[in-house]
Amino acid sequence: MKTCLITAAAAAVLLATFSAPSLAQWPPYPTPNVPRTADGKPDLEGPVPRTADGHPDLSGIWEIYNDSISRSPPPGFPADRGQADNLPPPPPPPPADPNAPPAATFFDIGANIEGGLPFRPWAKELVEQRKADNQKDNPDAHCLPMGYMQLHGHPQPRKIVQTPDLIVIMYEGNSGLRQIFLDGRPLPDNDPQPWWYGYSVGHWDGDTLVVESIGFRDDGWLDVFGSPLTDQGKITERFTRVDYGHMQIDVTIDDPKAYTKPFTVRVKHRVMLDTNLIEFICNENEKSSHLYDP
Amino acid sequence: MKGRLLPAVAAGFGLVLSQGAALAHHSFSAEFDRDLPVEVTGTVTKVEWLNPHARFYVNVEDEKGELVNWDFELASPNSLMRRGWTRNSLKVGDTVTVTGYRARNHPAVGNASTVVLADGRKVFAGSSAENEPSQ
Repeated sequence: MKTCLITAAAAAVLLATFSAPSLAQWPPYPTPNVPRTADGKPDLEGPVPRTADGHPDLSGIWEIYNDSISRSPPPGFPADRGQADNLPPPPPPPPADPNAPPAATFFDIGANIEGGLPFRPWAKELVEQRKADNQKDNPDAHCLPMGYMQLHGHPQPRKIVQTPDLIVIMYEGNSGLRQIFLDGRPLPDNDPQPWWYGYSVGHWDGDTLVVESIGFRDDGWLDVFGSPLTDQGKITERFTRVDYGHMQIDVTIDDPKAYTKPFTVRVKHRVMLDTNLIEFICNENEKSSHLYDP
Repeated sequence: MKGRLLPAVAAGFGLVLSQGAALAHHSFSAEFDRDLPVEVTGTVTKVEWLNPHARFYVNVEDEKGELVNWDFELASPNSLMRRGWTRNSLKVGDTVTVTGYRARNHPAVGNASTVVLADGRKVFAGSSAENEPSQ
């Protein structure tokens, strides 16, 4: 037993050495104005920070924290490969809220919608084809922009920068970038050039930021499985920072060209402290796409 | 012994590493096959610490005694760094053992699941296989 402990301690030192340089890649910089508990730890359930004009301040770096990405080995996965020295066990999922919209998953935004997404026949056929092709044509798999819901559900963090008239969201995943205008301008009605990320305007509904977006390309992928988004799509997102450390985003997809009715799903994020985004330039060394085989 | 050691090590890592999951920028099954597990030991010949996937190449002796240069895909550097990897974790000349999955139609291309490094540490390589649900 003693030998075991000594070996474990030695291994822990080795592993600490392994991990330490990663923390020093770029110097960590402490997040300012973090509420603290009596023992000095971040109080993630502390008060929502507010801007000078009284609105909730959504600024910060956020990561998903719901169970939208399974960490359990898939069926058939060899048990002896499910755990490695640098992979901590997953945290317990948050308690389920029976009144919340169904949780979107990164792979399938309709995973928790009873009966699945309300596809029109052509859209269902397209998704089936995309599954049969192992999603080899997902734009992200070719270093093109990710869909909205992939950005919301991606395990890599995103940074929100909030000003009174503009919110910018920088996504580490595939360097996604969105701008949300809060200056009172309306959504464009002049048949604008479709964009990967559309055109977004926002307003405050009490303490919830409501963002409406239109003007998407006609060939969008909302999730990894390929649920479509068309040029008739309108997306409404309701961002609510429920306390210091947690935010929920309820997303309504209204795309009559692809779906028979609108639907709403929820994404949950939690704040990340004392860290920053890491550069991700997808086309730096893309060598996978020529190996895709359906 | 091993069974007691690993939880202690895992707990130590849990203190300093993000819980962030690893994902490929493409669907795992677009390129790899869970039904083609591989385990090879060989010498690292090249490391590409680049996006969208870090890659490393390993010379492995096949059953005929000939060297085959395997191309192993890892997670992205940002995901690996949050798990404690650095650009120096793998070096040319290191002897490593890699478990993972082979590409569907490319016999010496693989997705690394775990790597036993030159100093004996076994580290998760950020394989997307662990996270992708079946369809």
